[in-house]
Amino acid sequence: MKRTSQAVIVLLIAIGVAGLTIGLQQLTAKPIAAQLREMHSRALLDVLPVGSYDNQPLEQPLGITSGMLDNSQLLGGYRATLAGTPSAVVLRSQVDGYGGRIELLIAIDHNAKLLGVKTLEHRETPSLGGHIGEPGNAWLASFKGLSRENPQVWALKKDSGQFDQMAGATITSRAVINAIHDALRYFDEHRQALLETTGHD
Amino acid sequence: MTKPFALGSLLLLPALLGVSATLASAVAFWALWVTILTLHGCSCGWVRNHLSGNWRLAANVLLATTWVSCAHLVAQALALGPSTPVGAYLALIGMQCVLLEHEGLFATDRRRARLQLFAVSAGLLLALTLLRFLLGSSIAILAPTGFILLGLLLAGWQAWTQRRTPL
Repeated sequence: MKRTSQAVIVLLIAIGVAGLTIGLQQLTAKPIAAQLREMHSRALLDVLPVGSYDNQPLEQPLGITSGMLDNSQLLGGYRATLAGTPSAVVLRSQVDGYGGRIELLIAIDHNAKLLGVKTLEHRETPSLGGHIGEPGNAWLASFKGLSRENPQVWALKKDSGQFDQMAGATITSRAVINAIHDALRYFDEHRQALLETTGHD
Repeated sequence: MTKPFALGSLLLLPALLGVSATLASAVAFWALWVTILTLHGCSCGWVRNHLSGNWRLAANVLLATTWVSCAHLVAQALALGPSTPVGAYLALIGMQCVLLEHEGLFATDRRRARLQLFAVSAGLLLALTLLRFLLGSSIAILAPTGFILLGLLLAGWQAWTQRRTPL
């Protein structure tokens, strides 16, 4: 008898705690999804300075179709607006590096100046070209503020340009510089279309 | 930390290393840990009076997993330390709950031992966080530095307690 009563108690506890967990899960499902979305977009959008936009850029993808550029491939783009006026464009670009494809997020403000570059994905050699994947990488940060005409030649010093390369990672450095230059050129050539706000929202 | 609970208490160490990178995550995690342990202690108090043997162990495991799952859900909903993967440490804490209850830490006459465990863990966590903060550089944020610091802290503690007990 004692055995059965104990089994019943354990069973009741099991039912109770299962109900509690399921209930709490239902209750927290929405906040958790919202938090995840927020984290995801924050990670993606930290190329843009805080306060430089007030929309949800990820919900305003640009209709970019012709993807192939000179050295890289454009995968997509987003428009950031501040008080209704376009403030920046974030382009997602893909380029062949040393170890594989490098996916970059390149933010360009409405004056065609670079706001920032962030690596989304790469397979470069760790501690050589792989540095581009580290948050706050100084080499990537050095491109901030540059534009298509400044400097005149977008190339490594080795290729008679003016950029330093990452130590031991010529191919990675060259690929990233080409991708950034491609993105800046694309922005220049499609400026009107990229910054034009659609009237229907 | 009293010796009988050493094994259970040790399960907190990985979490100490993982969450001590910033003060906010350390404090949040410690609060969560104390809440889970207290909830588990209270619920097991009731179980202890009604169940025995394997039935008690089964209830112990059921309750520990529940509190840990609930804590994980709440932590996610509040985005507790978004950069810290709390989930893995919470699983260890579930294990710790089961062990500590099995070793009798939550018995009514063990209040002192419980408070001691809470205090020692808070002290260790604070010390680790502050040391890593003072070192400041990017190296201090890495987990290996946490290991080295924890080792030094424990060695210091050992030296201190041995000096106090007459040989």
